[in-house]
Amino acid sequence: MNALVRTYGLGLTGIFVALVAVWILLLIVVPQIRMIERAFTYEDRGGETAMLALQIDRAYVEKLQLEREVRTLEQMTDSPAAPGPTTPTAPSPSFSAPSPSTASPSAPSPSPSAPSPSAPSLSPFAPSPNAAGAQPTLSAGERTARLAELNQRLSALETKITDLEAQEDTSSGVAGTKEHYSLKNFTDMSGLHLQIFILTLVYAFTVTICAFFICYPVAYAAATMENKNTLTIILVGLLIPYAINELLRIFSWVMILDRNGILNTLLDFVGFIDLSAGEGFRFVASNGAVFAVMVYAYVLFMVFPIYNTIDTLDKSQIEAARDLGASPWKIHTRVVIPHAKPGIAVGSIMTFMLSAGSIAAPEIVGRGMHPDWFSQLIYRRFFEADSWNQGSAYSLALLVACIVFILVTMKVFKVGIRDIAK
Amino acid sequence: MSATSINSTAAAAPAQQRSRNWADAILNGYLVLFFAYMFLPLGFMVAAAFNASPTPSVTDWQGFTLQWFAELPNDKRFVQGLLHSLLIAAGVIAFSIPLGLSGAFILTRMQSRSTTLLYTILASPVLLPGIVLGATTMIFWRDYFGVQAGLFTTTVAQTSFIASFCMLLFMARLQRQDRVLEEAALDLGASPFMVFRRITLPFLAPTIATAAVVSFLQSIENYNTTFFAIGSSWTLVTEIGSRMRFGLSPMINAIGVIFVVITIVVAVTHTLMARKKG
Amino acid sequence: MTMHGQNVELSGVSMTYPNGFTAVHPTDLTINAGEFFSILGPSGCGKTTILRMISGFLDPSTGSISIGAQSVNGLGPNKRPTALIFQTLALFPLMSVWENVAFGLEARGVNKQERRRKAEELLELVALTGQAEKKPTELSGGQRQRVAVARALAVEPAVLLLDEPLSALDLKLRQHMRAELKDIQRKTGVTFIYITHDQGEALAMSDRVAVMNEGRIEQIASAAELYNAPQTPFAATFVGEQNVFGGRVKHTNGTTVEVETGQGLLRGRNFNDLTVGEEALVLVRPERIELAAANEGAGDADNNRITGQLLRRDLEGALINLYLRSGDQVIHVNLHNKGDRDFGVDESMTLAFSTTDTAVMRPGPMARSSA
Repeated sequence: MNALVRTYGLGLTGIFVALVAVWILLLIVVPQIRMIERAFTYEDRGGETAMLALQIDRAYVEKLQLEREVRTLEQMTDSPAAPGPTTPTAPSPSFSAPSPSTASPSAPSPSPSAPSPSAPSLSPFAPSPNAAGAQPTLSAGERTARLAELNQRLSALETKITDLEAQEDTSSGVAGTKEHYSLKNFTDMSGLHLQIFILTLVYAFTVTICAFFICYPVAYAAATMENKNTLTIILVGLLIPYAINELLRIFSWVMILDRNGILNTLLDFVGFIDLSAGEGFRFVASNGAVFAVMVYAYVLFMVFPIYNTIDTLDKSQIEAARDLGASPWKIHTRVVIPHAKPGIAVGSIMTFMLSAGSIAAPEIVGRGMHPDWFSQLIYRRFFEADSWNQGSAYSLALLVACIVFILVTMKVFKVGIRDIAK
Repeated sequence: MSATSINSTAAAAPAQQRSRNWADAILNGYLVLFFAYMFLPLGFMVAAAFNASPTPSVTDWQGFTLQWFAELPNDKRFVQGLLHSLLIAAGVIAFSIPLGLSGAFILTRMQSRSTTLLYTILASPVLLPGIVLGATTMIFWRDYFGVQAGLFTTTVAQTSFIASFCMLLFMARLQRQDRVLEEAALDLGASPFMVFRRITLPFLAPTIATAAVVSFLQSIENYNTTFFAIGSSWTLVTEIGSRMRFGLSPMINAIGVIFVVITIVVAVTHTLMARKKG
Repeated sequence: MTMHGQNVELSGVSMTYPNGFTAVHPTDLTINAGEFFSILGPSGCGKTTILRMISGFLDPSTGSISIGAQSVNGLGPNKRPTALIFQTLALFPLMSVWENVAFGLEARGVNKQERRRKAEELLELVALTGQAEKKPTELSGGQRQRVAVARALAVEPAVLLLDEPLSALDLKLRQHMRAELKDIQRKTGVTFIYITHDQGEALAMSDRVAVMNEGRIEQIASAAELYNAPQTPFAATFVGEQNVFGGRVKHTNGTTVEVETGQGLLRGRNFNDLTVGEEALVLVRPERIELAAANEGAGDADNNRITGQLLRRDLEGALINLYLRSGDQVIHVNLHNKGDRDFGVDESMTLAFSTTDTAVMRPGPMARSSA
């Protein structure tokens, strides 16, 4: 630190230290701690708080419907000639992640976003079909009566909501929270989920192994390439698919594996199946397809680290080994691979981490037709079951699995953290 | 190669040479297969972008068209997504470079043993699953600051690991720095700030440019982290992702072609520049 | 171009690193204004540490430093009237030659026109006129050296510190640059403090030389005094070559002392007030030894005599080196090649050397390279 102050003075050093402190605290450590805290906090969903939340949700939904009806009626009153509410623009196909709870930020409650599954770009008041079409036959008098009734019910509902929310505040805030530290988020993991967790890790590990065997010859060929022009072409050839967006790499394989995709067409062409008769393999519906796509999508993360380390190997060592009569097998196992260890370690860690944590591949391949992968489970815990604490627990499980993999890899390849993150 | 044969005994040389040729041929054949494996799927994807068929296909060819490209600018969600992506990328660059620089300075200039721990913490986001980073960022900002998942949390979540990438780039550069230059400048009476501005920054300038490009690409292309941290908003890539999940459209292939072209341009430029330097 | 050199005073200065290693033991040292002062010692002796403490890159653990009667304790390197020429020169690779030279002026807020003018003036001083626009990498080793000197002089330092700046140059250029540096020092009048492990450089350029070993200054003297009358075994053996004989004091007589050694009784000047019975080292330089006829001058109190068998002779041209075995020791003799006799291996010879050329000292650490 002294060296830093001496060179850059107190002012600049202070800025460096402050920025790093902010980075560590706000971007890395405290968020992780918060996730761990949540992972070990059990939210009692069957309990009083959850019931209240459910009631509040229902009340909001009811209120929404009433308001909609009121507006429809009012509109008709305003312009009796109008043929009814203008049809809202057709919902554009928006399937982005549903909003994760727009509830009050203070408490992790499973509340009001639930009733609004509609896409955020749309008005939350998009009329439901019956709300739009049921009323036009009513006379003006009936309308007024109905309006009055509705308004009355609305105000009653509002009081109820206020009451319920007050109760919720006391029950979750002061009077005794239903959240408590526990391992339950983990122990509650069903057998199926546990199976998925393990299967995902096994698949990720297999992807890593496959990637190594596919990439090692390529990395070796590139690193020992003597013709500089060929080498440049090979490197650009590796860099392009490596840099192309992950989704596109996955998508290109979906086109191949799809029911009407290239592979089935090929099979149809050779007469193995008859597509027009509705035959055809649903490759994409299997975990195997996800696995194959993952190998394709992440294989290149293995090439570059290995290439970089073999590149630093003094090539005369290979020549010397060959000259001493070593077989190709011996040359690789005794000279090249030992030297490439740090690269293999980095490549393995990257490939494993990307495969185990990939949400893109399982989401896009098969579009839900195959069994879930663990990353999808995490997503569903957060955004569909709306249980952030369980989601945190699942994320933590994945995180720990990756850390364990990193540590084991470091141990096996005898490399330090500084060799890895380069 | 010839050096080997010179050293080898005369009798062994031809046999060895023959087996070497075989090995080389197998390796070359493998390379061809490997690149076919890498590029054929991408080729299909690119080709389908020009097919008039309304579902992306290369087998069912209904004629050449640029229709899918023409439709892109009219798709509001794509355009908006692109805008979001650019905004996030700008933010990520603005955060990541100062953070990465600070981390690199502290780690390369501190001699104490605690740097290994600090290094592990700062470099760890690179090695951890993106969805975990996205999820933790989303939780943290909502729980502590009431900030809903969206463009801001995405920027922060991406920064948490892109800054680590930048730091590693800067560290590699700083380790090759001749520290004596800074001492010389100080000795000549320069203030610490002048040393930083006249000596250190010019030395780092090429790396800062590289880091900016890397950050930009990483940010634009990121899916896993963004998917969790974006909330109800969307970026170009999450939008592409959701379209892919709910049905295939050649418009995605059209975007793919644009990505591929940009990638090729960047990759070739990068390689040419690296060659020029080397 | 005359500048004003100032004196440098170290009192009780020491440096102990956090890991407990003491690089410099408490040292008092006064360097006069306008002097060419060298600190000579092997690597790791603490000379660079002293230099870095004077320039302000290191804070002494104890003691204080003042320059021109002004204490500089706690001042950073950018606030001291010193300029340092680094071993690697540390020219700024991204700046042109003149920008390098004018960097110190830029730091002092001098405007560009004036900076340029001053840079040209200094480049002229170091014979680099016309090279201003080049990048340092486009210059030869000697030219880069001169840019470094010009850059350091541009800030008109009172003290110029040089950290083995010639070590990267080849021998010819090094000898040339010695003369040039000495010349620049005379012209400018700046105090030069020159760090080196090369005794040739130190002896050739310096007004005074301090010999340092293991964090301590062994001796400060003029070049001639240092060579002819070294005060410690280390100073004696580090500067030039010595034949060293171990023994015990048998008799003292004022300035002369007699020591019983494996080669017989040897007499020499008593440098350390040795008393009878003490262990002692007897030192004599190879070129002070002469060949004597077998019985010539026997019993002469002013001369020491040793006999030995010739092991090897190396002809260097003008000089000839003889290596003789005498008892358990090899004696090195360095003669002018007069071409008047042959030397046969195994020949028995008698060597003679004057007692005034012979030094007797209390045992202590010696330079590793001594004969």
